[in-house]
Amino acid sequence: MASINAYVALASVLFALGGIGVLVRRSPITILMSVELMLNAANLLFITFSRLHGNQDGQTMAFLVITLAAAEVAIGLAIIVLAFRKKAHVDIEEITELKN
Amino acid sequence: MSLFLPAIILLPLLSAAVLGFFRNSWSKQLISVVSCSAVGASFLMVLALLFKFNGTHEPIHAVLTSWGPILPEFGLVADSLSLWWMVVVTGAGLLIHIYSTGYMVEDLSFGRFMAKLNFFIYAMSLLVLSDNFGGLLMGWANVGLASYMLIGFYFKKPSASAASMKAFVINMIGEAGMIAGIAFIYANYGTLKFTEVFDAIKEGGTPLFSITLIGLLLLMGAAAKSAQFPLHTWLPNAMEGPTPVSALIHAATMVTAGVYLVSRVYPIYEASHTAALTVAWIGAIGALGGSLIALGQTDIKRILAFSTLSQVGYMFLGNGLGAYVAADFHFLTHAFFKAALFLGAGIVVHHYNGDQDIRRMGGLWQKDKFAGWVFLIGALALIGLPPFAGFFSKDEILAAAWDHNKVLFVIGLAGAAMTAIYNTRLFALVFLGKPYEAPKAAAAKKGKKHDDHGHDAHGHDHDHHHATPKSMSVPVGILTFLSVVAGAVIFMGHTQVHFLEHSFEQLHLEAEPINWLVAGLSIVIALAGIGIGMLLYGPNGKLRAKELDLNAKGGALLNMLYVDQIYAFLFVQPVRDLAEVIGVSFDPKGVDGVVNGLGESARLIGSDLRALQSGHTTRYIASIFVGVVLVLAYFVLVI
Repeated sequence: MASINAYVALASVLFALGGIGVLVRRSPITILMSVELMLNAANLLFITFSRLHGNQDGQTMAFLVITLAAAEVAIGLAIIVLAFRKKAHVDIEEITELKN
Repeated sequence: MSLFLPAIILLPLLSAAVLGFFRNSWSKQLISVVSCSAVGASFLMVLALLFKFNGTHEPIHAVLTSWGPILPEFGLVADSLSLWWMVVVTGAGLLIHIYSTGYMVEDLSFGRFMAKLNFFIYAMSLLVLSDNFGGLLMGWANVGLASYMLIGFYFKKPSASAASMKAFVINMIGEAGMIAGIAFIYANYGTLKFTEVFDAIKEGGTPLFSITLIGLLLLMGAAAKSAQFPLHTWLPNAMEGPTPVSALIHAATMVTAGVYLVSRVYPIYEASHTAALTVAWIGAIGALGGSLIALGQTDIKRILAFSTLSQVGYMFLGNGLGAYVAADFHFLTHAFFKAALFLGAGIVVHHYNGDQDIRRMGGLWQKDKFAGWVFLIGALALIGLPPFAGFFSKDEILAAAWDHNKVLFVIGLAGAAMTAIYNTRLFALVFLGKPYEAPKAAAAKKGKKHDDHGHDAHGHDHDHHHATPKSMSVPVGILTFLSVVAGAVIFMGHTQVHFLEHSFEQLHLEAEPINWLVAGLSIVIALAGIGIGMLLYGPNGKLRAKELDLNAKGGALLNMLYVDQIYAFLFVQPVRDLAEVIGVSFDPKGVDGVVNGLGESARLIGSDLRALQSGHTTRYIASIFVGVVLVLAYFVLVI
């Protein structure tokens, strides 16, 4: 097994990329994809540490996160569809209804 | 039997509460019956206690409650002094209650009036029956409250509510002194019970200065309540109240509470010559000043008010000279003849539909013989001619002054002369001569405008002359009868001395025969005063036309020697100016400035922070990221 540092570094890079994607992209679908990237970075760490410690807790958590990600995408896509119906195009910068 | 003591106090209080609650729903007859029977029952119980006391001469005690360590037994006592006073308070109180049922029956607030009168009887009984300074003070404050409520009875009239406030404030000034005095008593003797305090004073050991201070502080309360100089200015304004109130509270009983106080705490004044002499001088000033001012007044009730001031001054004079029995005796006779005069004045005022200006009266003798006789007898008793009641009691005070202090005697005698003159003036202007006729419509109008102070606002239009109802004439008749005989009957057997000596054990009182030199002098002075009065104000008197001139400018006497104006300049105006300063600059700029400044700064901070809440999802997420990074940094770097 390669050094643990490599896995942690890879997960960190993936997480940072996802975070940057969430912050800078304007298309909601890309943002959702970036969120998936961050979640999977976390999954990678779970599994890495699961192997390191030799128990199955991390594996379990990873499955939970995958389930959660599926639910999140479902709701996220539904919101995007509704926003699209209302405005005909979707730009995250123009959705400012939260302030009211 | 000792159950009677709390019952005497609580019955009128209970009746006041019940009547206050049902004042608008019960019929006037029912209200009259309840209020009069409560006072009547108290009167009967006082008589029962009186007979029991006469048998044994042992004070009857009852414990009401406990005030913890300050006053373990808060009780009532019926000894000779308190019974002497209670007979008058409940007796005259009952008569005036009955009179009120006739006098006030047309008033819409009849129930309220009777409830307040009952409350007064409760308060005055508590004042007189208490066996300690605490109860005395409670009663003292409660009679003040009753007086305030009843002066301001016609509360829609601005002058009446102003008068009630004036009375309350001045009495509060006195009460502040009194509370301080009682606090000094407690600090010195550790008890508030009369008997214990007086025993401690008799034992000695207290510095004379403390006793004098206590005496003067208590005198402050007494002078305010009894309308003595320099705290007297509320009494003429108090005449804004209905006439029965003036008779009961501001003539017969409440204003004499100061006399009761000095008599009750006589060991203090026996111990301190300075305090006693101050009492005497205040009384002498009141006796002469009151009778002088009464000579210049044009309002029938104000004349009687200053007459009360002057007569209470005589009682203070007697008290200050150690003639407590004479003072209490004069209180009793004065209660009768002054109540009769006031109630008679009520009948007179009824005749003129509430007009109280004696310049618009005259010749009433022809129309109402009954009121005429009441006034004649009352005035003669007040002047102090034998065999009327006032002669015996006032003469005892003057005799005491003759024995102790010739200067005070001369002042008292001068007051007696003035008393004779102003009474003659009052009687002559109201009952003798020709009736007043309004010369022109314009003059009548002007006259109307002029009578801006207190008359009982009765709502009937018909002119002059209505028959006086029995409920009014009978009490007045009884009081007038008592004004004739009470003095002589009591004096013949020296009842006042034999009865009251049990309350003045330190003095070893002895009944003294009449001092014929003093009596003769005062009779001569009184007759001379009546003669001068008739010469000046009689039907053909020299000054009569001038007195009756409605347009005449009032002099110093009409303006009550400008004391009110002096007080306005010294106290009222500075406070008003201070309020002005506070109201115009301090309040809007200072207090409001702080409050408004706080609001303004919150608004500014809010408008700056508002920019953060843009609604842009990305920025919110960014702030979450920053937060997470900061928390992580904290955990990684600091911990």
